[in-house]
Order: sequence, then C-alpha cells, then structure tokens
Amino acid sequence: MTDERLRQILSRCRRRLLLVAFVRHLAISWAATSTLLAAAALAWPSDLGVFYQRAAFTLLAGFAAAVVLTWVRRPSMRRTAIELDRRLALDDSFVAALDCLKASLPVASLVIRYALNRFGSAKPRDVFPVNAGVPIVVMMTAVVTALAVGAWRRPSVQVGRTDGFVIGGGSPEASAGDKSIEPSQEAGRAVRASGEASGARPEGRAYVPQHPADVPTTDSVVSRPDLEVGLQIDPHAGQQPTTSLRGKPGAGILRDAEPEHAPFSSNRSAADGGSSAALAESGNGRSAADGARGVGATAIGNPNLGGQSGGVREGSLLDEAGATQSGRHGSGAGVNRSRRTVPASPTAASAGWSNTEVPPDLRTYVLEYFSAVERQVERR
Amino acid sequence: MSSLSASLESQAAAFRECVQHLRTQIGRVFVGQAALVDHLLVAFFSQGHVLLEGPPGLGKTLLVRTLGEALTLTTSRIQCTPDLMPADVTGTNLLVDSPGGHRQFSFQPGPIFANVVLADEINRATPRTQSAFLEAMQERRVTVFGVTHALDEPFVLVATQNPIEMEGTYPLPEAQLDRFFFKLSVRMPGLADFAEILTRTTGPDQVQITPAFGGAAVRQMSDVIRQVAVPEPALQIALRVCRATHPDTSDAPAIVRKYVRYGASPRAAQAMILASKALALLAGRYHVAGADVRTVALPALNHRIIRNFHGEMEQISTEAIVEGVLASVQEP
Repeated sequence: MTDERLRQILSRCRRRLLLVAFVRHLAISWAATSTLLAAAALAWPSDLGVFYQRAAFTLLAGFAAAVVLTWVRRPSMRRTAIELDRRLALDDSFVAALDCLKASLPVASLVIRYALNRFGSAKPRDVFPVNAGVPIVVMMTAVVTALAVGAWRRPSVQVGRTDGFVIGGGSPEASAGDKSIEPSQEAGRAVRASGEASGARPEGRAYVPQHPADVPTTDSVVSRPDLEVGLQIDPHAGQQPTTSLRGKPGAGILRDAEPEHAPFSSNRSAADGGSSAALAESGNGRSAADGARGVGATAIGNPNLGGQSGGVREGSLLDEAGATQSGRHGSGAGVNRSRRTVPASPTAASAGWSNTEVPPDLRTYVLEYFSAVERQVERR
Repeated sequence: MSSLSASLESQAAAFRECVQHLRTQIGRVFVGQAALVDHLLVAFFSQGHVLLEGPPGLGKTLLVRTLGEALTLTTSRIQCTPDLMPADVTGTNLLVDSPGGHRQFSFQPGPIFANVVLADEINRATPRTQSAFLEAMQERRVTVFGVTHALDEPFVLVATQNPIEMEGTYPLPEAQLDRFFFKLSVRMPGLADFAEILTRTTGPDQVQITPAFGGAAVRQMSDVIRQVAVPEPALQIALRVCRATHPDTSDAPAIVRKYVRYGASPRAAQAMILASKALALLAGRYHVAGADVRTVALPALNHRIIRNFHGEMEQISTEAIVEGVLASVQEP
C-alpha cells in the first residue's frame, strides 16, 4: 500500500517535472529560433507572406526541439526523488525509499513510511511550480522582436513586377527582374511604367529639351542645384526611356538622347544604335538604360559598363548617394541588367534632394555634363 | 507492518532513549560541549574507538569515566607511561597454585579486557606498547603466549593525548591512528560553561551517576544501527569525500594537492557511513542523509589525513583541509 503510494507520488512528480522542463525548453528554444528568425529577416528581407511562413516553420521547429530536448533529458525516478528531497528538504527520504523499493531491506517499510509522512499532503504542482516567468518573458520578447523586424524589413518591391517598373527600352517582360528596390526608394523614383508622355511637364518635374539648342546652359543648372535626375518611361514611346531632372521645372538635362548627346562616350558607335539613351536618377535610385537596339548607350550607375556602353561613368559618384543603379545593354529588346540595391539615404528618399542635400560630386558632374553638351553643340 | 519492522522500531526507540539517558548523565558531570558528547556516543554505539585530543584539565578522562559509569559496563583505565609494557595492557600468564597443589600458568587478563577502556595519554607509551593495542582495537582480541583471547563485547577504547607536551612522547603511527573511528578535539569551554564547571566542582555536592543499559542492550543498539539504509547519494558523498582527500586523484581540491601527502583510507569511508547511520537513527530516520555524512566527516577524517612538509610548515590544520574537501564535493 505504502509502496504503491510512493510510486504514485513519484510518478506525479515526474510528470510535473516533465512539464516544467518542457516549458523551460520551449521558452529557450522559441527565444533562440525567434532570434534566428529576426536575424534572417534582417539579412534576407522577404515579403510578409514568406516571413509568416518562415515564422511558422521556425516556431514549429522550436516546439519540436523543445519536445525532443525534454524527452531526451527526461528525469528518471531517482532524479525525481532527488529533486523532491531537495525541494522539500526531506533529507534524502525519497531516494532512500526508492532504494528500499528495489532492495528488500528490513527497514524498507520504515523508510518508506518516513518518506510518506514527511511528504504529507503536498501537491506536485506546489513542489514543482512552473516558474516560467523569466523564460517566457525572454521568449515573448524574442518573438515580438522577430515579428517586428520581419514587418519592418518588408519585402522589397520587385522591379517590373510589383509596380510595373520597366527600365529602358526592353520589353517589360524582359526587364522584369529579380532585383529589388526598397520601398523607401519608390518615392524618388523617376522611372515609372506609367510614366507621363515625353513632352509632358508634370508638376515639379523637369522638362527634357528635344533639341540640343534647348539644352539649358550651365548657368541655369547652377542656379538649380536641387536637381533630381530621373528616367521617364513613355509607354507610348515604346522602348524609349526619357531622362529628366526632377526638381524645379525647366531643369531638364536630356531627353531621347542622341548619340552625340552622350558625353564622355568612348563607344559612340554603340550609342548610335540606340534610339535613346537614358539616364535615370531618382532621389535615391537611378537607372541607366540604352536604347532598344543599342548596346549600352548609357551605363550610368554601373561603372563597369561605362567603357563598353559609352555611358557616363558616374557609378562611384552615384553610389555615394545610395541609389539603385541599372545599366543595361543588349541587342534588340533584350535587357542585360546589372543592378544592385544599396541602402538608401532616408533623407534623400523621403524628401528628395533639397538644395542643401545635393552632393557636390553630382553638381560637378552636371556641370561637366552640360559643358560637354555645349562643346558638342559648338563643334557642330 | 511486519514484526521485523516493529522490532526495529522498538530497538531504535530504545537506542534514542539510551542516548538521551547518557546525554543526561554525562551532562551532570561534564559541562557543555554537546557536539563532542554526541560524537563520542555515536562512536561508542558504532563500536568505534575514539582518540580524544586536548590540553590537560578539560575533562577528557572524566568524560570517558562518566560514560562507563552511566552504563552498566565494565570500565578500566590505563595510564600510559614510557615504562608501560605490553603485558601490562593485555595481561600475561602467571604461575598460580592450583587447588590440587600443583602450579600452572594461568592467564591474568589485563586492563584491556573491559567494555570501555581509557588509555590515558597514549602517546606517552612506547611504540611497542602502543602496538599492543593494535590487535585489540582491530580484531577485538589479544594474543598472549600464543593463545588468543577474545575481548568482551562491546569493546571501545578511548585514548587521550596531549597535543602540547610533545617531549618524551611517541606520536602514534599512521597505522594505529587509522584504527581510531573518530578523533575528537576537546576545546576550552565557553565562559558560561566554565562558570558552571567551577560551581559544580568546588561545591560540597558529589554527583551520583545513575547507570542504565547493559552490554547486551548496547550490542542490540549497535546491530540496529547497522540496519539503517544508505541511499546512493549519501554513499556517493562518502566516497567522493574520501577520494578527494588523496592528492593524486582528479577529484582533489587545490588545498589537498598542495598540503596533503596521504589521504584517508577506506576505513574513513566506513567510519563515515557507520557514524552517519547512528546519527540518522538518533534523528529518528531509518536512512542516512547526505548531511549526516558531512556532519561526521571531520572527526572521521582529521586524523587520517597526513600533511606534507608544506602543510606542516605553513601550519595548515587538517580541519581546514577537510573543510576544503567538503566544499569541493558536490551533491550527486
């Protein structure tokens, strides 16, 4: 009778210990996996759907790990008795009683009775409280942090897919890329598939002169340091991107750039093939695209393409502004994109380049650019 | 409950009653030092020999004599001196006249033939005489002229030694020290106890000890003590403590590696377990707890640890070493 009661007590305490251990392991494993999830969300941003899938998988894996860990490290009857003696200060009564159960000692019944008397009417839940306060707080903090990080690191907008961004003269399908642009960069982007007509002068957007004679002088540019260079896609113009300066109206640089309008071109024959050379530059991102048939008429943004495409080499310059760069070259409607995402300047992304934020390098570039244009015009 | 358990329970109750009686009787004569008395009683009921160490005048002899008087046991006292011979301890054959007018050798038992033997200042006896105690202590018998004589049960030898006066003494060899169950140190009493001692010993009243419990009862209690269960954790603690006193083992703490030459023998672990059983029974338990082992570790170990040169030069006490060992041994 006493033996059976002793076994019952030990079994109940063992189950309770299992529960306590499982809660602790679950908290630890979820905290660890949530931390990993947050780190993964920081390193590889994804859209919310994918993130939620990852989160669900991670928490499931943490749960499984907790189950496995609890089972592997499950307490034995002896360990349970030792813990019981330690918690209730029973002077090794239950361990001795357990030994007496296995070995038939003359004092077995006395030892067992003594242990049961010392245990009294204590309840396992009182002896082994869960006490998961700190682990659960840590776990919840980690989980919430992971969710917040996942929500903050929203999936990047897929160029050519989400917003219909098609850069350059290639077909939209061909330009649907795997590169992404940060959502924060969308505001400053001048390249839009739903762009305005090439002749349009939207509010706040520069007009690109059609004729070299219309190219503004350097003075006019200098007086407008708050330029934003953008690439406008005219859906009606097929594959001819439009380059524009954003900012105040009239600050346009180039539109439908003829080959001779591409300064610093070392491969003018390639540029000749293009019907348009585009320079796209947004507040924090820019694209350079060649014409539909050309090969790298402009390769702004990727200095590696500058030599072969005859574009303006300003990759390093624009890199400093933190922009998405795109250089394209190819034959026909093909697109050979070389783009990369660079962390954007929040100030430039949100407010555009203000007067005080125009990098001096860009200003220098614009001045040189217009000087070259003027030299070309004079040479003619 | 089986009859065996009922019998054990009644014997355990008798044991506790006997110990309480001894505490009371000893307390009438010997003031204070309850822990010392308890350890002495534990060793006595474990049938272990005790080495009492302390300066003169602290009541060592009085304590042992009172223990013998409080029980209806035979007691004897041996005052050890350098000219004490082994035959003075064990006894010898004497030529006696037989009733028929013949003369024959007859064995005359020495003072060792008693239930409680006090060997006062044992370190003043020569090594030859000290060795006469060896067989009696370990085998509980003596051999005289080729004839072995069994000692009466219970047999407990309580030896005293003075740690101050070392001139003209013969320190006990390690082999003989190992045969002592406990080594207990008698310290100066506290102020209140000291005042009580003065009051009692200088007054006109003579304390009369009431004897109770004979040898048979003590033997039964010793048997009950051996029935106490020892769970695995308590056993592991005793083993680990004993192993940790050896400087060449991996379990040894730094203080042992630095200051100890030889560690405790297996007799130390036996003594710890047996004394723990008695302590558990005194506490009303029928099993040994880890705390019991730790409680009896110091008296069981401090005379079995041999310090090295550095330990002796730096005057590292064996008590400090044992405390370091106990601190290093974790619960299993």
